[in-house]
Amino acid sequence: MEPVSESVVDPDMEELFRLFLDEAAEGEGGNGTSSTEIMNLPAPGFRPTPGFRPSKQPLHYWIRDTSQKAFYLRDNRLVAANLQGENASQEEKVSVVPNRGLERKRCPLILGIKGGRQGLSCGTAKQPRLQLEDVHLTELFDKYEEAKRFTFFKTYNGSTHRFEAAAYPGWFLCTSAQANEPIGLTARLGEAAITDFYFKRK
Amino acid sequence: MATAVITCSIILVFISSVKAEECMVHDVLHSQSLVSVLVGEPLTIDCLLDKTLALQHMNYSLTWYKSGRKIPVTQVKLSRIHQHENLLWFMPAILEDSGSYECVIWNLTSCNKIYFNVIVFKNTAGLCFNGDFFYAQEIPASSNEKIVCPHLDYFRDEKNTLPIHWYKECNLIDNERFLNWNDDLIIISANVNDSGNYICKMTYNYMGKEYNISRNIYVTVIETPLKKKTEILYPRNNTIEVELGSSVIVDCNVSSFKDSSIGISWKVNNTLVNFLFMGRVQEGNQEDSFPDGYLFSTVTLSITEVKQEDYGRQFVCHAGEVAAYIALRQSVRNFQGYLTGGLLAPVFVIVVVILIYKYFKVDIVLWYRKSCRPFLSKEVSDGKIYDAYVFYPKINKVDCIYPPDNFVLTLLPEVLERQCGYNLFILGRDDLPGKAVVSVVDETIKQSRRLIIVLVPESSSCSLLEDIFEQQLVVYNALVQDGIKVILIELDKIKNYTNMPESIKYIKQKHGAIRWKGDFTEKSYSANTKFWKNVRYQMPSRCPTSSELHLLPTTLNSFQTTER
Repeated sequence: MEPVSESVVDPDMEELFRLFLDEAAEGEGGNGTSSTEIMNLPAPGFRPTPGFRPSKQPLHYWIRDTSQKAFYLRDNRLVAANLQGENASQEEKVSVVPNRGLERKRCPLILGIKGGRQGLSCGTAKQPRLQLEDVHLTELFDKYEEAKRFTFFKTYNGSTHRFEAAAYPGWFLCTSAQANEPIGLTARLGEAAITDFYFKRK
Repeated sequence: MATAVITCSIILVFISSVKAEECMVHDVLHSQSLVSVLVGEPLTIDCLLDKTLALQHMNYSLTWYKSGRKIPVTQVKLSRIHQHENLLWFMPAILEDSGSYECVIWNLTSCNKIYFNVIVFKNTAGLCFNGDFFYAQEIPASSNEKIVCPHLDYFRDEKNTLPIHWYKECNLIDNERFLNWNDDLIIISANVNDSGNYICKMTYNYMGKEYNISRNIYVTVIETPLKKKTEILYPRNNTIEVELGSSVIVDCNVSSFKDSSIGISWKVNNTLVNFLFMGRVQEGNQEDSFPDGYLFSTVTLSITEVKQEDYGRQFVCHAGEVAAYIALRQSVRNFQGYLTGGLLAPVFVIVVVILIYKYFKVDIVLWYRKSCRPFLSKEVSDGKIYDAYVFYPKINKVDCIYPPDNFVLTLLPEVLERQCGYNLFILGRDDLPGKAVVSVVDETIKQSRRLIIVLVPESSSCSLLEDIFEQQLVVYNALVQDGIKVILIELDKIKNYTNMPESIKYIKQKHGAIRWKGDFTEKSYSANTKFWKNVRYQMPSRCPTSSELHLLPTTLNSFQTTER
């Protein structure tokens, strides 16, 4: 009910949350919000298949750090570099599904790559470590606890975005100032590591 | 000796090439790594970009080969193409260098081979860049973001610190909006016109030679204006007053982005109102407008007839992730308003009446007497003969400035007696000769309803105190006797009362005085002048001020004619 304090929003996110949460809720809730659904009320006794939900695919976002480094996979590790010419085809887009178990206001996103077939996990150790896990983001959408290590709270200042690990508050997704270094997590904002990203739906 | 060295090296090369062929291909990118460079420019290739591989190969040995050649790339620094540590250097690259290169890493237990495909390209004819080999960079509009000159890592050192020059569409950038910042270019308030081909150029000194290094960057400035959050402008979690049984229409006003489609709905307890109230409460259609690039939407909630159960209920307008409610409250009569109005109105009326009475008191009373004359005339007689006893200074001296005789003996009887019908007693006119003045005065005052005291401004020659007995009696009656009203008439402004007797001062203070400013002209004979009205007001109610009296003739005769 409270108006959100952020004065700017990422329009891409509106779309994402609407697709995954609002419409999913309509499908499952039974109350329904779309008038067409109500018009075609099924006969009494009819119950929709439990868990029935229109299949949602992750949305894909183009990501660059503020040094214009793109993400790409090198030796099965996600690294960041400026990609020239044909190498640009190596660029990995970030696949995104909202985490519906966490406060929507904080923009909790389950991040992955390879079209949502690999998740960007912070691990489960005491100290977070970014790693790729073979997992389907669409499946994580239904698993609240399991999704947490893949979840990042995204903040937006109007031009760049920042991703804070949901399971490790104070830890942010980062790239190294040098090219071809792996993507990681840092707890030191404003130091050598780059924590601000351009992030746009493509 | 020389032969031995050559033989030894041939054997080493042979062994290593044999080893290289046996090496496992390490496919870091799942495709060939492409490295491209403009002809004539230096190029370095780092075999161990991925440091993990280096860590796996502790105490490793690394050798670069041009694919298809068995002899490794030389480590002699003066050679145009050479290996230096893990790097393959082209100083500079020529078109013929294009092709595949292999980096072979081995240690005691394993061997890995990584392929790199080098492309040496020329600039597009007529341009300072080749459109196929660029780094794509995007920055948001309206921001102060930077574009970067990439892959300079090996060319920036203590000997090579000269600033980078930036070109846009092959023209050197010389504009305040562009700032060189380290090896980056900051574009102040970027706009879509800043999109295009940028070249960054630097010179690199190596072994006493200068080389050019350039990068082609295609910049796209993306117009993403800051967008306002979806906001419900109304309701604001507020309560409105409505009467039971009345109909209510409430707007839900939402501002959002132009390109976002937010469903707006009215709900009660998270259920759409349309399905809760059998049509009594309905949601209207969404109406959109696009002022200022934003989307303003309105969805109405209409309640045809407010029922008791609606009070206190929260009607919630949902717009995407934001929501705001409105609640209804039974309207309470505005008691305060009524109270204020109810009190103020009479007070106002009273004030007005008082003001009117104050300023028109005399006229009102006179009008009342005239209107109610038939009733007043039926009054029971009070047993008195005279309406007023007129007391005035008896002055016979000619040098008196204000001789009261004219006023008392002519004007007073004319107006009060003839026009108004009062019965006056004037000593010297109405008393019978031979009678004792004292007893006459005493008796007459007792038979009078009013006591008119005429005062003249005191001068050396005019004195009030001439007739001492009469005055004493008059004052005695005025002060002591109850029931007789005193009318004090000044024949001119009396500035100084100090010489007057105390009794007169007291009477003046108690009853006030009416000042006669008139002369003996026609006008002064009218009973409707202010002066006479004031006198009449103080006289007992009797005077018939009929309208015909306004046209009074000035002379006594003509008046008498009219009277008849």
